Amino acid sequence: MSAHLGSITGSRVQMRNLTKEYGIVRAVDNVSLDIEPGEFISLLGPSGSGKTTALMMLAGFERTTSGTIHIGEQDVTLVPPFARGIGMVFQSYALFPHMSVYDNISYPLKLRRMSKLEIDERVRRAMDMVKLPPDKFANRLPQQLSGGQRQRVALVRALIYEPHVLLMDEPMGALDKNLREELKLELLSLQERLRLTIVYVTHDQGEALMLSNRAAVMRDGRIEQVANPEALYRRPQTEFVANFLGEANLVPVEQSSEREFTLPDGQVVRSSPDISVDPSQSYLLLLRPEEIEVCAEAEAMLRGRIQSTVYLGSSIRIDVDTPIGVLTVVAKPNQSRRFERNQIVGLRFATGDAVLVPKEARAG
Amino acid sequence: MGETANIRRIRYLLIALVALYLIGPTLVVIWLSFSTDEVLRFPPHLFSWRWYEVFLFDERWNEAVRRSLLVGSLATFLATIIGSVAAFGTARTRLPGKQIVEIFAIAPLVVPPIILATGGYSLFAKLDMIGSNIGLAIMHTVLGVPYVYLIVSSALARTDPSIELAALSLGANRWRTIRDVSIPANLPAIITGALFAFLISFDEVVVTVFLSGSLAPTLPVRVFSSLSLAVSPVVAAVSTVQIIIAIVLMCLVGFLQRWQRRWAEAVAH
Amino acid sequence: MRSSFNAKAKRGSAVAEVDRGVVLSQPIGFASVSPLLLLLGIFFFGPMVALTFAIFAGGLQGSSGLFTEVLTNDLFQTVAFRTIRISLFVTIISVVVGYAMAYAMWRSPPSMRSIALALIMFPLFTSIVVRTYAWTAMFSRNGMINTLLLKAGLIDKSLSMLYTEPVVLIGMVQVMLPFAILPIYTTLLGLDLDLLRASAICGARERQTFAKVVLPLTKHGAGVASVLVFVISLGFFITPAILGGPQSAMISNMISTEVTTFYNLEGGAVMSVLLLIVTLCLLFVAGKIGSIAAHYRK
Repeated sequence: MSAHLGSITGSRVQMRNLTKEYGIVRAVDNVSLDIEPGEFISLLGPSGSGKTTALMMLAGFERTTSGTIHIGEQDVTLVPPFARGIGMVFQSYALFPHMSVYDNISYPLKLRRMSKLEIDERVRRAMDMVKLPPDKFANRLPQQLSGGQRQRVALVRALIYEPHVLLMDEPMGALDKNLREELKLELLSLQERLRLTIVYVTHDQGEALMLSNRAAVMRDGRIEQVANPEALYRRPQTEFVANFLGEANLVPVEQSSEREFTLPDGQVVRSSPDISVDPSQSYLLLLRPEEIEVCAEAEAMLRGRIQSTVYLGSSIRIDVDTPIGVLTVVAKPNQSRRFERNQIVGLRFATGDAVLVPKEARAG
Repeated sequence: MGETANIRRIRYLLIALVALYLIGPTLVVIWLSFSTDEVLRFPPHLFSWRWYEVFLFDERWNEAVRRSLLVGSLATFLATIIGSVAAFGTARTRLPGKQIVEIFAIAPLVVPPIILATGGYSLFAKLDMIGSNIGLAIMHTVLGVPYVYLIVSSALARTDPSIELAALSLGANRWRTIRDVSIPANLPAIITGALFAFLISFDEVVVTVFLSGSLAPTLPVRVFSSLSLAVSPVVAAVSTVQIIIAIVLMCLVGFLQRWQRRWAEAVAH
Repeated sequence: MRSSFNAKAKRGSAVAEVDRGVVLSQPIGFASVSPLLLLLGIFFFGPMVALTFAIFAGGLQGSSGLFTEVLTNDLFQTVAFRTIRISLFVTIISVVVGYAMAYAMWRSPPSMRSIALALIMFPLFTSIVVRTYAWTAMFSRNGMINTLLLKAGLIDKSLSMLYTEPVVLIGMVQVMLPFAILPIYTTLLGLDLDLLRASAICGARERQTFAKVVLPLTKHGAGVASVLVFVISLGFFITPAILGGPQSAMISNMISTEVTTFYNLEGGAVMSVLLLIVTLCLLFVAGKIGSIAAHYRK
């Protein structure tokens, strides 16, 4: 596709204090987000977090209650969808069931009053690019395609008119796992070639971490944290983000000095210097399962009893009951080391550079 | 989706005009029914109950109402039982040829009533039953049974079968399950079907004209034949009564639908 | 209501039988549908078949004679032609206005939708005789329209409008409009909103989305509605009888007059059988269109 779609460059997308209210419900609550040109950004969150509503406002399908949207230099807050010049891939693909693959893909070009000859050339080249040879697929109806083929037609239809921004609403939702992996890779290479701005909505944290330059984690209509995948995983700023991205052991700690925190069993960890700490706030120590090491009892910081084990193939997931709470650990099994229920094991983890997240105040 | 205020205005204007066309004339009838005039005229001189009094105390109108109620209740009773039982039968058995039952049940809705009338007339003439209330009620049952069957069938298709399975698993046998679970859960639909069956009988003209013979006609037939003679405001009063009955039935059906849906939802969660 | 019921039933049969709830034995199933089949068999299909059979039983010669007699009858030809013409007009007007109305409702917010829906349902609950009577009150010599026109000074002598075809059309369209609106509205409700969004984001204005997406995906629904409106119109009796008088009688009125006034059961039967055959053929067409439409459904 890059042959003539190579000229695409992404636009900057800016959301400023975006709010959407349905009656008394705030689906999106004062969201601001700057998306760089050519950036792949994910809106990540559970259902009802407002990510889809935010996308619908970007596309122009939902009126904003307040706030503004800029695409490039233009304020598009009041611009109808047909004039925003952006591409979109829908969860259901939304291929027109009464049009052939060819007609679906050429639809946006026909609306742009392009000449028949040029349309034909572009559609055929684009179909070749995504491995849907025109002589075989041009006249098929969407109902006669597999899930992966439909997905690719939807993608081509969204890109054929060279939009500067592509919106994707859970585009992998309806595909099986293998196809999903394949398409993720395709999407990455596409993004690399085209450098267009992609806003990708998903509830699948793995997808978001793998695909995006940055992800915005949403909850109850607000953005909890925007960061690159590694920062989100390693340095979550809230308890919610820590839990939403991967598995998290969160151990309550007491602040003992400026950078020192005491665990429930009296041991001390040092926070990393880039984390600023508010003394009036309670904190939790974040330990990712793979950061905890199972070791000989002599070298251990902690000892605990194995509560349960789950075999995962390349690794084994163990829940260990320790004096600082039940910790989930991911360990590599080998011949010399076996894990069984009620076995006593030693655990250790790094005590410098600890990641602390503010404990959430819970109602009641 | 980015439409202009003008398009919205045109849309609402269209809805208003169509609504006016559909119910405007009917509302005028209510106005006319309170006229003091001997004949229909505009605007009517208001206000009197005299035409309602004629309707209430005139023996011929009373007889028409009695006949309508008698035939209507008989037809409703038959249609409700036959239609509901058949709906349960097709929804809850592995019956071959369900489509045939369905085609049978829907046919009276789409075949012109005059054909039913001609057919019924030829049959009941042979049986010497022209003018019989039973014959009339049977033909009204034929016209009403499709509504009962369709309404109850679609309710059964929407009911979560797991409530029945739950009853079975708790030790109820199949008959008890049907009696204690299936029928109560679909009662609103059965009552809705019955209301429709009654409404159909209470409005029927074509078949009734053929089969009522020299006996007193039912209420709608009496209204119908009085229209081809002089149009007296008493018809407006009768019509108003019928309109009020229609409004009451419509509200009742709306209430029953909500009731049925609430039960279905309560089960689903 | 019909289509959703069918869809449910089909989905149900695709799922394991266990999902059906209580399953009764086959004999009980037969027993439960037999009263319905008996009722309709004896009092509905029976007489229709008997009539048809009686006409053909007189030998092919006799039956063709009867048919020829009816078909070549001048009055029958006039009435049959009028019936088709009126039904055609009623269908065109009802489906065009009905489509516009259904589309307007569909594009409206939910509160407006339910108000409009209630206004459309109301006539379905009101007796046709009452509604037709309302039109006589509008169109009679001292009716509302004549009074208004006189008051406005547009005419100086009241017009005779009753018993003309346009008035029959107005009355019939009023009865048939809900039958056109409701199935089209249901078809529109079944549209995947993402298809419209996809069209808009591709660059289509509302008008273009309507022409290229909405209309092609709902035309079969409108087609089925047209055939149904046409079929029901062919059999109209009350409205032409009251608003049309003898000058605008339709086929049902003619059959009724033949049977109840002239006691010509044979002639009435022949016309009934003809009407029945036409009806069944048209319903078959509607079924075909319906099954094509099902192809596009998700």
